[in-house]
Amino acid sequence: MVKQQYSAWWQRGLLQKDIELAYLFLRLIFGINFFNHGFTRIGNIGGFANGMVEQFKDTAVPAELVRVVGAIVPPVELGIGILLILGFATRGALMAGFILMMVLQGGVVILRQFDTAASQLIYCIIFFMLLATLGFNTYSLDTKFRRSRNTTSDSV
Amino acid sequence: MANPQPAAGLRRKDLATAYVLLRILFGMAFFIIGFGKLGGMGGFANAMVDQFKETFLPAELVRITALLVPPLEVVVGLLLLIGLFTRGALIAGFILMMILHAGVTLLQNWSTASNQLIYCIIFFLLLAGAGFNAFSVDEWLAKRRGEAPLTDDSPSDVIGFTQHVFDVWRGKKRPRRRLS
Repeated sequence: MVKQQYSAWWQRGLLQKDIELAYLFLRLIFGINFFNHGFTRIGNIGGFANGMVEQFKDTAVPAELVRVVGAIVPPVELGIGILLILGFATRGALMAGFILMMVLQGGVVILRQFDTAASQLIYCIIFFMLLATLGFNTYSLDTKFRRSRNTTSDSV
Repeated sequence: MANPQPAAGLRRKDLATAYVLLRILFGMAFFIIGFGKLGGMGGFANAMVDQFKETFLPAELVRITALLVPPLEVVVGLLLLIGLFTRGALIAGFILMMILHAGVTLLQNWSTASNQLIYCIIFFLLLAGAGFNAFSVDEWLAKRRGEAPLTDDSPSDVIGFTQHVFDVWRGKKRPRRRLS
């Protein structure tokens, strides 16, 4: 084995190792966030949905639609959280979460709550980052199962 | 630098400059946040215990975590500021954020949670882009010692993961390579 020498920084670039580790941490933190979103609301879905209906009562959005969305949101958040923590079906979880954010973003913009809208955009940035760099999702159950089935293809 | 650069695109010099500025700014912020808490650590810990008294977390666990947070922030901030053990500091900081984030979301403190997510984005950017940590004490030491740079080979099992974290932590390659 040839002994490796120092090479100047401009001859190197991004390291896959660094990105994989950063991806793992961000995915875990985001998963914890979504898990706790769902976990703290799941016991009180009725109250959560009623609160949402109350907020939307002056808008053109029909109350029943708001109630259905309000009832779906906590379990979806909990599911996305668990999947992201495990790194299982990561792509599906991220896409579901991104679409959920779209619905929620529509809602808060209709309510003209621009502070909430801005903080939701932070979530969207993270969804974008995790989805765009999904190729670095090495430390996950997805990788484990893909390896065991011996299919390594990553065709779009 | 004699290496050819494309006419348009990301340039390493720009990335390294952006990296060092973000790292210094972030390290400074972390240091000041931690330093401000260091004086009144008992009060900070008591306030945290008080906040968490409605949750299922045991008070002692909350107190220990609260006592660990300010010194960790100071150390991580200082290391990031000068760029020494950069990767190790980033990993430690990222794990710290994970613990804090779990706590804050359990309290349903959503505005603090989204602020913390911004910190997490910056930790992600700094850790993922650590290859461009050119203007740092780490790089200066590596150059002086003629150290081989970190490379990407690592086996994909639990042992491999541990080695991987350890490698990234040290910012160096393992001295011996495993037989494959």
